[in-house]
Amino acid sequence: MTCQELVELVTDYFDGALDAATRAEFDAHLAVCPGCVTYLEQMRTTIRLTHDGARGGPPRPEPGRRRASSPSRSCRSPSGARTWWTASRWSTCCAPSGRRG
Amino acid sequence: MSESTLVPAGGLLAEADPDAGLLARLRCGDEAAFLELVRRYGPVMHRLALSYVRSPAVAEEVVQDAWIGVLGSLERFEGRSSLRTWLLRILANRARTRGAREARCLPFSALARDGDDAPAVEPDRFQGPDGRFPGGWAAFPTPWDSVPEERLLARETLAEVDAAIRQLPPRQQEVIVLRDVEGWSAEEVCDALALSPANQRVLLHRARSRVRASLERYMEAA
Repeated sequence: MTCQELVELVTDYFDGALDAATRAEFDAHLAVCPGCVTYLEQMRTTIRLTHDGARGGPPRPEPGRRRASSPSRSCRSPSGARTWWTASRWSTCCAPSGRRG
Repeated sequence: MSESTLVPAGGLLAEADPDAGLLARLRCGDEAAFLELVRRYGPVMHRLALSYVRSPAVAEEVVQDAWIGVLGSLERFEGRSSLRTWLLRILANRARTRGAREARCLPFSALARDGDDAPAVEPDRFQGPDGRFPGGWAAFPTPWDSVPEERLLARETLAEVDAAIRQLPPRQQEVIVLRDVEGWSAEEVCDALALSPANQRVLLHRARSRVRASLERYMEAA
């Protein structure tokens, strides 16, 4: 297995999707190749930053979330619990309102 | 009568589905449960919609449309998949339809190919057939472990990651958002996006490789 081949198998390696023979070759290559060890580390860091970045990064506008989750007046009708979720009713009382443009 | 007596306890589903409790309440018409569902999954649905449509406002419409679809078919949900994979399936279908409609109005160059077979690493980073080790690194990549953690987690670095993800083709974005941002399992992602396991891994691999390459350029430019 060359380095160029190894870099194409990293996700399969992480997911445990390599067959036993290929995995053994992959591990044997890593044992002797500092470049590929570094590459694998970089992929691990990339995955970690992808996870952290999306959560701690700059805030993105999520108007649907803010407005929909803010306390709204109750949509429940006094007579029956199931009626609130008819689409039209939901969109009039729970959906974001006042969308512009 | 308490609502929980109306719906049998989830059994196996309760173990498999983190939203099993919510589902029981939704089926009883519990409005707070629906708002909780919106709170949990609204953001990721918006994010996924954005991989298909360009403007946040249109993405919001897609999400709203999906919620209405969810409300309309909740009674038919059989629990064969988890609630959230079902939600995401509805969202993905609507986002793709909307995205395809939008794409017809875009210049052709704006359409990235999803199944691209670009290599994970540029070929010129490896030795050619005449090298001492053909297919071996021409020069080893530079380790990032000397980069201080503060810099790795700096706003600018994370913004770089975010920008790299947004430039990916839609299907790659969907997969990396669900797998690496949201931390879903491969099985759930295949289920939600109707992908084969192999296809899911190819998309994820392309996505991660491109994000890594962007980070590498960013680290080296500093």
